[in-house]
Amino acid sequence: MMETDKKLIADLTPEIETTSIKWYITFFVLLAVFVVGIYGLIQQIDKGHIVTGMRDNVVWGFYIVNFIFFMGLSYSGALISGVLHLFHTSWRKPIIRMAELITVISLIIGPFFIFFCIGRLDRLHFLFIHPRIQSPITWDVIAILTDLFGCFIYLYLSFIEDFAILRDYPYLNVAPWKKKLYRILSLGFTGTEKQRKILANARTVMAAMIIAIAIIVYSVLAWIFGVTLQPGWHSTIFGPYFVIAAVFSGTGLLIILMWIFRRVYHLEEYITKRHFVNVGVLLTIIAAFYGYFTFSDYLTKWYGSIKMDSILIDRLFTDYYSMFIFANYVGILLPGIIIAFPKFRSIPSITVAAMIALTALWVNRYIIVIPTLETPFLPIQDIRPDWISYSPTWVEWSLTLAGVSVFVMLFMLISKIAPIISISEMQEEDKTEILH
Amino acid sequence: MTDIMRRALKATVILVFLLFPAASVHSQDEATDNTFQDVVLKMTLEEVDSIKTVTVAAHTLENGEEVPVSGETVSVFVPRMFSNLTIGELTLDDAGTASIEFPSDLPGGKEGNLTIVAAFIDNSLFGNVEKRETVHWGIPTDYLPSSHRALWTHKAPTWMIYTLSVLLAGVWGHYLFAIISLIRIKIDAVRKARKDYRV
Amino acid sequence: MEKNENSKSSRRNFLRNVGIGVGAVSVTGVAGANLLSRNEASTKSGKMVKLLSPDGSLVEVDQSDIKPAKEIQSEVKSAAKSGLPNRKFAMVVDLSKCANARACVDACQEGHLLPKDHEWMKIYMLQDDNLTAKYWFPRPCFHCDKPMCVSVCPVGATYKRPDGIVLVDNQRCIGCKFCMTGCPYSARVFNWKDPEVEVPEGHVYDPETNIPPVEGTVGKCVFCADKLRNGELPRCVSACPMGVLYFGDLLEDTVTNGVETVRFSKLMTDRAGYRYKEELGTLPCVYYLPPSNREFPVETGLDGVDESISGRYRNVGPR
Repeated sequence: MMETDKKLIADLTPEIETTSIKWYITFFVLLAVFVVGIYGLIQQIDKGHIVTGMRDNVVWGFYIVNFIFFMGLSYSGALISGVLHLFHTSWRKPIIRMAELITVISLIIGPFFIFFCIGRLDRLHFLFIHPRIQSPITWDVIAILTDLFGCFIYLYLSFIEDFAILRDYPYLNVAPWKKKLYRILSLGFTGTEKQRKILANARTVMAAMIIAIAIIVYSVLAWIFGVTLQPGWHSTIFGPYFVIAAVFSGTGLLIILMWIFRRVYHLEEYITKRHFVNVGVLLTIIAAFYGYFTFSDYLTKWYGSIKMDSILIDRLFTDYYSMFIFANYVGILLPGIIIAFPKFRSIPSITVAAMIALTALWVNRYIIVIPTLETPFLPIQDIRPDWISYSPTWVEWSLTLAGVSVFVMLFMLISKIAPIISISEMQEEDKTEILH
Repeated sequence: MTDIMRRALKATVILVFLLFPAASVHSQDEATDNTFQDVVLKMTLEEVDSIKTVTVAAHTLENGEEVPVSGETVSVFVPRMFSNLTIGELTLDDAGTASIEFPSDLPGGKEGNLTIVAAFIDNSLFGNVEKRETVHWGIPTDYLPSSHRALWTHKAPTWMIYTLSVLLAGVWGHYLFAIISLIRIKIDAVRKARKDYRV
Repeated sequence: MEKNENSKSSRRNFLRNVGIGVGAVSVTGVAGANLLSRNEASTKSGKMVKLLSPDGSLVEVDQSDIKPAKEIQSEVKSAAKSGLPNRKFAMVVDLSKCANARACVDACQEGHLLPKDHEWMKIYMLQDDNLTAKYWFPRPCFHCDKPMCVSVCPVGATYKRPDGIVLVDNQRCIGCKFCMTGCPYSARVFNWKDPEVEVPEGHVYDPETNIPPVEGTVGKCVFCADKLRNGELPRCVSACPMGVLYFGDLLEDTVTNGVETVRFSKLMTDRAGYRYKEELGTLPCVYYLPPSNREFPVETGLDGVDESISGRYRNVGPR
C-alpha cells in the first residue's frame, strides 16, 4: 500500500478525474487542424510531391526542417531528466515529468516528417530489409529507434511509482478502465526497500544512457548534412552545433509548457518563479553556447575566401537577412537579456523569452537547410521561379501545423491518464526529511 | 531416281546454296565486289630494333605478273569498341609498299594482344579490302576492380561494422538491464503479495 | 503436253519447297536470336513449341529457350549490376566546340522517354570570372569513381558497377533524395509527379535504360548502358552535330565522337583536358577540354532557341 500526501493528490489529480469544457474545445480545434493536415497529405500522395514547394535543387524543405526541429525538442528530457537526475538537483522535481513527455512525444512526431518527405512511402520497409550501413540515413534510423525505445523505458520507469500511488488511493474518482490501467502498469509496486532500490538503479542507468544516446542521435542527424560536400553543410562543427541547438530548443519548450500547465491546471504552488528562473538560467547558458557555435561557424565561413562559402554568406545576408538576424541575433540576445537581469525576470517575461528562443531555432534550422540547397556548385539556371528558390505551399504549412497540433493533443491526452507533475517525486522530498 | 527424289535433291541443293551465302563480308586477299579490280594486299608486322613497324604491300595480277599498286591510300587501324583507331593513312609508293611505326604504348586486351588491320576503304579501284592480324603488341591491361570495402561499395568498411555493433550492443545491453529490473520488481511484488496473503 | 505440265508442277513444287525452307530458317533464326539476346545459348531440348510473338507472328521456338517473365527480370537486373566485363567507360566533352545545339538533350529525352523538364544531360552557360569568357557547359552524370550519391543511399538503389557506370534501380529507390543532396554536380532529377509516359507492351524494367521514369524516384544519365551492350555510342554522343562529346573505353585508351577517333591520353595531353572541380575528389569519369580557339561567339548558342530555355542564361555571370 502506497502512502500518499492527501494534499498532493488533491492538487495533482483533478485533471485525471474530470475534463473541462475548455479541454474539449481546445482538443477539437487542434483535431480540426490535424484533419486539414491529413487532407494535405492525401493531396500529396495522390498528386505527387509536386504539390509541395520542393523542386530539383531544393529537394528538402519544410519537412526536413520540422524533422530536425522536433527531434531537437526531445533534448529537454535528456537534459532535465537525465543530467539533472544525475546531479540530484531537487528543484527539478516538478518539471521532470513534462520534460520526459516532451522527449517521447517529439520523438514520435519527428519521424513522421521524414515519411512525408519520402517519395515512395510504399517502400519504407526497404530501410529495414535492404539497409546500407555506410549511409547516414541508416545510422539515423537505427539511432532514432534506439532513442525512442530508451526514452519509452525511461518514461515508464518514472511512471511506475505514480501509477502505484494512483492505484492505491481510495478516493480517486476515475473510470474503472483507468483504475485497471494503473493496476497493470504499476507492476504491483508496493514501495518496499528492495523494489525502490531496483527502480532507482534502473533509473540511474537509463538516465546516463539517455544522455549518451541523445548526443549520438543528434550528431548522427547533423552528419546527414555534415558529410555531404554542399557549401554550408560541409562543416566539421555540425555535430556539436546541432546538439547545443537541440538542448536550447528543448529547454525553451519546457518553459512554455511549464507556463501552460501551471496556468491550466492551477499548479502555482508547485511550479514557482524559482523554477522558471532556474530553467531560464539554463536557457541563457545554453543560448550563450549556441551563439558561440553559430558565430564560430559563420566567422570561419565569412573570413575565408572560399567561393561557395562567400556566395552562401552573401545569400544569407541579402535574401535571408531578416531570418538570419532573427535566428542568430534576436533569438540569442533577447532571451539572454531578459533572464540575465533580475529586474527583467518574471514568469511571463521568461516565457516570452522561451517562445522567442523556440521560434528562432526553427528559423535557424530553415536557414541551415534551404539556402545551401539554393546555392549549389553548378548555378541553378532556370526560368521557373519555384525551381529557382523555395517557397513552401499550403500542403507543407498544413502538415507543419498538424505536427504541432498532434504534439499538443498527445500532451493533453496523457495529462488525462497520468499526473503532469510526478507525485512520487514530490513526496520523496518530504519522505527524506522524515527519515532524517 | 524417282521424280520425287529428283525434286527433293534439287530443292536441297538450292536450299544449301541459299543457306551458305557467298557474300562473305571480308575475303582475306581478294576483292569481293565484281565491279572492282582484284588486288592482293599484304601486311607484315615486324619489330626492328624494338621499333614496331607495320609494312603494307599491294599488287594486282595482270596476265600472271605482279603489278605493284602505287599512289593509293591504305588505312592502318586498330578496331576498338565503337570505332577504329587510326594508326596512319599510308600512301603506297612506286613499289606498292608503305610502312609506319606502330606505337608501343597502346593498351591491348588482358594478354596484350592487338588486332591490326590494313585496308583499302571505299577505294575507287578496289572497293573495301582488308588484311587483319592479331599480334602481341599491346600493353596488357588486366583491369579487375578490386572488391574492396569502401563507402560506395556493397560491402562496408570493417571498422564501421565493428563500431556499430559495439555501440548497439552496449546501448541495448543497458536497455536489457532496465527491462530485467522491471521484471524483478514484478517478481518481488508478486512474492510479497503472496506472503501478505498468507499472513 | 505431259512434260510441260510436269515441269510446271515440279517448278511450283520446287518454289514451294524453297519458300518453306527459307521461311523456316529465317523465322527460327530471328526467334532464336531474340530469345538469346542477353545470355549465351542454353542447351537445346530439341522439343519445338509454337508461340505467338509480341508483334503477331507465329514462331516456333525450342522449349528450353522459354523462360518465365520473372526470371528474365532478375536476369536483366543482375546483368545491369555486373555491367560489361573489362571496360572502363569515360566521356570527353570538348567545350571549344559546344554551341548549345541541344541535340544531345533532345536525343537523351527521346531515347529514355523523359518528360521535357527532365534533363539528364544539362547545358549550362558558365563564366568563371568577369574577365574570363562565357562558355557552354554540357553536363551529364559524371559517373564518379568515388560517387558520393552511392555512399549516401540508404537502400542501395544506386550502385557503381565494375565498368564504371553508376545506375539507379527505380524499383528499389524510396525517394529520400539524399543522393540528390549528395551529388555536388546537381546531376540527378526527381520525378515529382507521375511522368505519364506510355510504356511499350511487355516491357521489362531495366536499370540500363531506366524506362519508364517512376514517380517518387530519382533518375539520371546512365551513359546509355543499353546501347553500350550493342557496341553503340550513347545517344547524346551520336546526336551531337558539332562532335563535342567523345566516348570510349579508357582501358583501350580510345575515345570517339562518331566521326573522329583519337587516343584518350593524346587528347588529354594535347588539349589540356581536366575534370570539373577536381578538388572535390569524387574522381569523375567525364573530362573536359577547355573552350579555347572557338570559331564562333558564345551568343550563337542562343539563336533559334526557345525563350523558355534562352531565358535561363539571362543572369549568367561570375559567382
